[in-house]
Amino acid sequence: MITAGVDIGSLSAEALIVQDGKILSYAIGKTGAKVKMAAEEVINKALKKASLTRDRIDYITGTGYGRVTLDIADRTVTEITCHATGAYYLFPNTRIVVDIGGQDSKIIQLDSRGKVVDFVMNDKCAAGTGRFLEVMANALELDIEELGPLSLKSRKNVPISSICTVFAESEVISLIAEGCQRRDILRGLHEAITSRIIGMGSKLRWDGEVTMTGGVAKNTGIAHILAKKIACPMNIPEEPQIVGALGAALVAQRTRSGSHE
Amino acid sequence: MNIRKTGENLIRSSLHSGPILGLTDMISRHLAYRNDGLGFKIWLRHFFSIVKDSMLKRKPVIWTSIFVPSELIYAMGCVPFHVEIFALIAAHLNVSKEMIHAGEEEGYSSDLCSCYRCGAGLSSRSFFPRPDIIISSSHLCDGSTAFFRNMARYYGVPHLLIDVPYGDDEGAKNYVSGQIRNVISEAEGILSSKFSMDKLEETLAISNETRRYHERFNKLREHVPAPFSGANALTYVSAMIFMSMGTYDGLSFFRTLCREVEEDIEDSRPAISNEKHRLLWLHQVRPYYKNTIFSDLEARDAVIAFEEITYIFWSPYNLRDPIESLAKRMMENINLGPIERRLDAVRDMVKKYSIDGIIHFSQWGCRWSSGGAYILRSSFIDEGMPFLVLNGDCADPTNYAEGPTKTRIQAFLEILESR
Repeated sequence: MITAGVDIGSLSAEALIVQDGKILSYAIGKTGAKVKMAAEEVINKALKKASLTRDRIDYITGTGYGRVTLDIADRTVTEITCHATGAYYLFPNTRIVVDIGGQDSKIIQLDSRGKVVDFVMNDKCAAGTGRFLEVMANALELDIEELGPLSLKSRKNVPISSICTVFAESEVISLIAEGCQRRDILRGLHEAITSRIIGMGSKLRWDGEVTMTGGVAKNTGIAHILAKKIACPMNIPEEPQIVGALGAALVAQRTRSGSHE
Repeated sequence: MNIRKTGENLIRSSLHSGPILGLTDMISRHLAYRNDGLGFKIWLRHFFSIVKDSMLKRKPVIWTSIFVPSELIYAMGCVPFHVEIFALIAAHLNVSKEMIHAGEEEGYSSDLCSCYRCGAGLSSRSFFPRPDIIISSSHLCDGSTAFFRNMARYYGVPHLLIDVPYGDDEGAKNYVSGQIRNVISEAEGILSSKFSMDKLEETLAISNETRRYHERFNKLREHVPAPFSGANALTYVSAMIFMSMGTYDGLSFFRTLCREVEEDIEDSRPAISNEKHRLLWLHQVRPYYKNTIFSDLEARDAVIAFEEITYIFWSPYNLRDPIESLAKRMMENINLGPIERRLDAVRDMVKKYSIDGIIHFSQWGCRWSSGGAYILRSSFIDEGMPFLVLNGDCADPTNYAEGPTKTRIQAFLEILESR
């Protein structure tokens, strides 16, 4: 059985194809303004990589904030269930998933069977997400990929008091003007983001392994600080951005085979 | 007739004018012809009688908060005007955003509950009847005391406050009873009208009889599948609990609801067609502006089987001790006092209504509710009961984000589906 998962986030779109529980291929693209087109593009890319045609796909599950507009999906499932399913598949001892995406962050608690028990999401404000980091990268005149490695070189933490994207950007500009090193400012930003995540997730039970997913997990600076702050082992998938699509493809397998989720 | 459009027109016109009162009748008739039962029509009749009585000043108007028993106001021969309920009606009529903005222009902080900001806006735009007295209570809603005090200053009328303490011992009961007596005595002076204890006893007797039907209505709702929609209970049933207790409309309303629900059970007419998940809704309110929460729940076969607001927390009134009974009613509120009181009541609801999952609606600016949500949540999660804290706003549509709300609701239902 071949199934696909399509995850349409606010910034990026991912498609992943699974055959009998094994990953065949995946593709990552930008969501842009046209959600349906982004979905078509990533699924076609993933099909091409796997040398498959669309008619070979038995079932497609859509997820992510753009899931409601996906007409190629047979079913839609939230990114909460999908990230949990994907993370559990990759790391079966996962009990907490920290998913930081383009505009929201979620912390998901799983039981030993990989079922979602509880979750929390950021409310109303996108501070500390991918979009926040994009704004800060712009203020620091850096590429988004440079943020993590540069912050790891910091020897001094420059605290950032505001987590509001607009105020934090002003604060960063002021700190640059005061002559602070960009690497130290970045460390301060990463400290603020991780504190926010931990504060948000304090309602949940942090035991077992933690798996970090979503595009922000690629930021080694944030991952490093988060791992230090939590008292649990932390996993970062090789490609954290595709975990939602992976979960969606696995949910599609279960749905198609009629097994209980 | 487009009810939302009509609402906008209605609210933008002077409610004091004759044609507008005619329009309220028209809306009433229009809504009554919808496929709602007689109970719904009784609610409309009662609502519009309050609108007319207060706008036309047929009786003295007492602005009051929802936590003051309406029996006290009816026994005074006055019409109770609940600011919170009219603010929520404004939300339903799609005009709350504008009125909240008007309230904020008056200087009210956006941290204040949207009911009062909206009420302030409606008041500043002269949509509310001028009060003769304002009577409010201190319990649960701390923002209301300052709001009503300010409104009293605005209209130049007395504000009588019933201070309800946290504890419920004999001393506290005497303290509250004493204040109710003071309120009655002050009101007698202001209205130049003698308060009748016989009238109070009669009002409380009607309320006790209403309570009996309310209890029966709640008992009927234990039926699986749920015979009555929680989305409706959170609108007109809850409004009647606040507005109609002690009146024959209230009695007739709950008696009718019982008959209608009995018929629905007998004829196998459940609230939703394919019930799979039975939910409990915590907190007094829900979003009243246009939203997709309840349709999203129903689309996934989830029904609000019961809600905290319709839970009967008060004992029947003792007619030989009416003032003390009113004090007791206020002090028995499950949201007053230690959180264990609310926790025990919620556990009772979970058991009686065969609940699969709980949604706690945390109203923006509502401290007592949001403050207790964490303890409730952790207690129920530990007991294996899925629990969603849904932060939101009952009246302010700008505090509602459809996408993230849909994700929360859907993910919560996915947890239920995977069990």
